[in-house]
Amino acid sequence: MSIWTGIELLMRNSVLRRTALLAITAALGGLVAGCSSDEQDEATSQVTAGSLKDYASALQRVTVYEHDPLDELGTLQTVSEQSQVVGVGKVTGVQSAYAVSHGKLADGSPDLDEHMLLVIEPQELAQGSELLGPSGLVYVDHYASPAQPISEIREDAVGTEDRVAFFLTEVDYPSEVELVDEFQGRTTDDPLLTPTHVSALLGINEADREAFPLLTNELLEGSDENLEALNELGADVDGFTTASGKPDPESGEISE
Amino acid sequence: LVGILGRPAMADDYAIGYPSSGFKPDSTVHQFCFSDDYNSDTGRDAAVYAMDNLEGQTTMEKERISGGCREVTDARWNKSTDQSVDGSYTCVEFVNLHKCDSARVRVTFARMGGWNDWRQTSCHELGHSVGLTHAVTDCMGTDSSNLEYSPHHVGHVNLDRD
Repeated sequence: MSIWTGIELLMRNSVLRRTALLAITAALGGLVAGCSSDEQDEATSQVTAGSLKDYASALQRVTVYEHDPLDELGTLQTVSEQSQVVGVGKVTGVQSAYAVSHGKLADGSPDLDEHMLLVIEPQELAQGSELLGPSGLVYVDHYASPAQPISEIREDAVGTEDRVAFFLTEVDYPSEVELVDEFQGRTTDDPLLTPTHVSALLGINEADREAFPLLTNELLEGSDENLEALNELGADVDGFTTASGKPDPESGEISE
Repeated sequence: LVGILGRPAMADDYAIGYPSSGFKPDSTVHQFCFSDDYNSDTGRDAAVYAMDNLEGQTTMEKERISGGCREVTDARWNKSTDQSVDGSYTCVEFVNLHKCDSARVRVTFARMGGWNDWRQTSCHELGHSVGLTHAVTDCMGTDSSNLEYSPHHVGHVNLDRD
């Protein structure tokens, strides 16, 4: 079986899983009757145990970043000192966000580069509480792709037992950049935050005892120092590794 | 200009999307365009250099789309203001699980220090748009003096068509 067959099977399984869950939900009282498709997705994600590794592999499948290695910059401790909002929490939502306008396409329609938000409820907040809005939620901005609908990957991040560690800075677009629907997915009081380093948004998987970047496959060679920095946030990652996952070419399952 | 490196390997990943590779192009004609905000002459020259180099080193042919990008243009050059990265690649439309119909290739103008930075980053992001992954020996690495594709990567582009 090729990796593509494996991924196809996983995608089919995902669809089947969602369909089955919706059917069960409907059978238990017609709770989804009259809901919008977004509400149905939200309802589904609340009862599905996902995996941040699957979420990370989905994101990394469509977007590749060119960045300085985090460890060459001095590990997460240095990134922490450069960050405005730092902590550990659980993902409570994955939402569509604003778009950056690159101008117009040849047919006159807007050329919009879509973004999405990872919504995190902090459990430990080492710094930045004063910057957050009244909800206290953390909104992490990253690229979206219309080729990868959010509804298909939301369940991997929401409802999982995995935690996420974040080292964030407020997004500050130059004035010449046109944002469309700037506050979609958040309120005007919620700051738009981005990882201070693209590898400084990490999933923490208790079962596999791993901490791994969500947006990159960086291996974090300085693991001891990085884990120490995470422990200082209250992440409790003694004995963890910082290995990055990779899909098995036969099954498509993520492993070290 | 230093960036993240993939580990060198005899057989590297090609066109699987994860980790760090792009996807196969949808044909041997690789269309490209500049978004309205890709307004740096140096940046455009570097992108054209990268397209010329792709055509010169491989069996791919370049085709510039003028008058604005289309949603199906293979490589859509976009300006980025993301100060944490030199550039990025996103497939925005798939043909199937291993071929990308259209991709955004973004370059962070403010992080480009000179002509070689522009050319290496352009060669690099364009390489993702034809399925290449990170490496240390050519422009898919981070050394700004590497401005071409290695024979190994050329082989992927020329031979791994299906």
